[in-house]
Amino acid sequence: MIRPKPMSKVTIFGPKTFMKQVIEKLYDLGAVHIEDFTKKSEEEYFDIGEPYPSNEKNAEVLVKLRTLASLLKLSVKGGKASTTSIDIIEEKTGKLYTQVTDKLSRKDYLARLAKIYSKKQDEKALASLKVDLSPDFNNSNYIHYFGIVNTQFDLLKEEIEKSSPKSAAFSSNYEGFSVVGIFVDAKKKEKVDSILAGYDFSPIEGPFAKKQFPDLASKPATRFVKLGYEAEQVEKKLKQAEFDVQQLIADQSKFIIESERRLTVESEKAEAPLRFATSKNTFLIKGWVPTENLKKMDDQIGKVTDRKVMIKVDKIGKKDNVPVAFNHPKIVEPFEAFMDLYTLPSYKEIDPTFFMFLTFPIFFGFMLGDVGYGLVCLLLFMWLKAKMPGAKHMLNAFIIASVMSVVFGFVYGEYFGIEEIPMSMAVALHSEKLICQPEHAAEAGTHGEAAAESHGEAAEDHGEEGALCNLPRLLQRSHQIQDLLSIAVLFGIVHLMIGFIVGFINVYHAHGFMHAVYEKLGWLMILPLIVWLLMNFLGIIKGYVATMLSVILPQSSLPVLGVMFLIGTVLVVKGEGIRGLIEVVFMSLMSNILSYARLMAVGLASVSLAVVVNDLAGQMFAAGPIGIVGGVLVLIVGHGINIALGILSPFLHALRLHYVEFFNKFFTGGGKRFKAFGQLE
Amino acid sequence: MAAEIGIGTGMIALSASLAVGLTAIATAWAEQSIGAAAVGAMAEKEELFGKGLILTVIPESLVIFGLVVAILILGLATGA
Repeated sequence: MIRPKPMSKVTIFGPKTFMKQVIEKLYDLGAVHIEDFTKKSEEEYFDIGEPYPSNEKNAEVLVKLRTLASLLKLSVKGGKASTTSIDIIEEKTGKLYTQVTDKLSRKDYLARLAKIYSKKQDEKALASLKVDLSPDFNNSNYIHYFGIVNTQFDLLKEEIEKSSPKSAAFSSNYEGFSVVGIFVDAKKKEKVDSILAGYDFSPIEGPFAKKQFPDLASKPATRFVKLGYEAEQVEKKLKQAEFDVQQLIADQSKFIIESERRLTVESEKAEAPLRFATSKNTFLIKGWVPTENLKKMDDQIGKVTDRKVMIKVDKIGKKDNVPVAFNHPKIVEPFEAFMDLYTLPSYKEIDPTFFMFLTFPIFFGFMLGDVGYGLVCLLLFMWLKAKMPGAKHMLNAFIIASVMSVVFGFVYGEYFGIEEIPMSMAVALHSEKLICQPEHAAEAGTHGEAAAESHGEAAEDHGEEGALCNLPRLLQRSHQIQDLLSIAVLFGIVHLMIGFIVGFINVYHAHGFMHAVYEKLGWLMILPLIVWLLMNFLGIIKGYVATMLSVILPQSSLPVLGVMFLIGTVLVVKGEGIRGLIEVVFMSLMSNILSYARLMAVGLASVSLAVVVNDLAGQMFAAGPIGIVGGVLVLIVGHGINIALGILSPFLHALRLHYVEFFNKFFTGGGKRFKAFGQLE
Repeated sequence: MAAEIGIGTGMIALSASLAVGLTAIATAWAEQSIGAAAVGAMAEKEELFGKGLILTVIPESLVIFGLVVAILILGLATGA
């Protein structure tokens, strides 16, 4: 749990005739992290392998499939790989590609056209057309078309001239549209109509055409479309085109996604030899296998290659950058995301994810600590998890942290910043004995006696009118600031001690016992004096935490602690040199410990803001109906902002305490993630 | 209630507020340039988030110390 999965360094070596089988098998197993082969000099015996010859063709199809997916806005992540043969996929993809691009470009044209009509720009479009109305065409043997067409003019003209030799065509360009004016033999009308329909010809509406070409309007054969008719037609066509595209997506998305997957798999296999070392007749793969999978891989490869391929297991060298595969129970997994955010642990050191799982939610909860806020966060993160499956891991970590916030909310007795309810309400609930708790000693650093005294007073208050019932709690955050600070600092001391102990183990494994003593034990020996100073000299740790700690570090123990400090300093200087000395002199350890005071500070800010919002709203409620509306608004906005802050800052500060204070004590990182050949993303 | 607070207590409260306020300004000042640089680096290379975050929040210790000092000062007020 606190170590990554054990890895074995393997070399797979065999004749090239078996390369394909080995690749297939390795891909199916998904257990080997392949180290890419790099050729360091020309003289080296091995060469980089060559991809399968089929790869080039497959890559083309793959590009088409991905283009299709992006054109149709499909997500190709996940999904099964299709089992259809590659040739069929290729053929179908080619056809589909032209179909889709045609449909999309037509849809695009119609959408732009619809805009022209809705913006009433069709008159302007027609005005851009210059037509030379020679008398030849200006008679009833000819019919005319004015409008916008979805093709290039030259192509259209050629086609028209072919079907009606006696014709004239004019064109202009208006905002990327071809505006055309065509005169053809009236006998050829049907033919020309069908040609134009193929290009989604859209005639300009009558009134504008009449204005532009008044002498045509007087001809008996002339018919123009009514105003508004064409706009409607285009709208209809556009709807149909959009529906067609949707239909196409519904029909073909499965094919596209599954084929894409299939070809991705194929191309990964085909390109695998690029990562191998090959000679004329042999191939060689270097990589890493989790030790638990080694035997299985050996058996399976032996089976498909008739034991003609050799697998050799080497000892892991000091300089090897071993890939790291996390090895956690399910509940710890979400916290891997925080390691990704920072840097992965290297193979040889202790993986701190488990410690983050233990302490991150506690820190987060300690800061946010409100039953109401915790529940809101919990619901929010659950909703987000359903919405964004991509961020599942991180959100799971937040869900655990939110649960801790609720737990700490009960500890502090805070419900949306409300710490007490009127006595009358508690009596009405018939549970005043159950839920009401006598007032805590409010003053900071109060000792047991004073607390007992105020217990008595509060108990007497209960009977009076307008008395308040304190909700049950262990600690009142807004009043016991000193206790809160002491607890926060205590968290820090424990956290750092864990850090040093883990560091000790890491250094012990990497460099031996003495180094561990110099570098980590030295600091552990310095720590007690600093804690003593915090208690007795600076007065940061007070109250019951101090009472508790003074059992271990009584006031009289100063000489012993002083000697320990000196020995520790000598060890640290020996281990870390002048840098260590500087750190001791400037009390870096004390600043590390005090840094945990933020646990108190952030929490205090959150509860203060909540109380202010509640008070403000309470005053507004008393001011009549308008006040009630305003009060509700203040409550929603105020608590909304506070929750947003209450997620952001506890998250950042808890993370920072781990990254800066905690990790500095033992963590180096720099590992690379284990990515098995054939492992899906 | 207000009349009971003497000038001495007022001074204590003022110095506590100065302790937090001035250190907060110092922190903000230090963080603004680090933060800008960190965001710039992250735009180039997203994996730098963790390191960027750490560098950005290092000056935060200043305001935390300010807060601790403020609490110590306020402790004087209740002690007196």
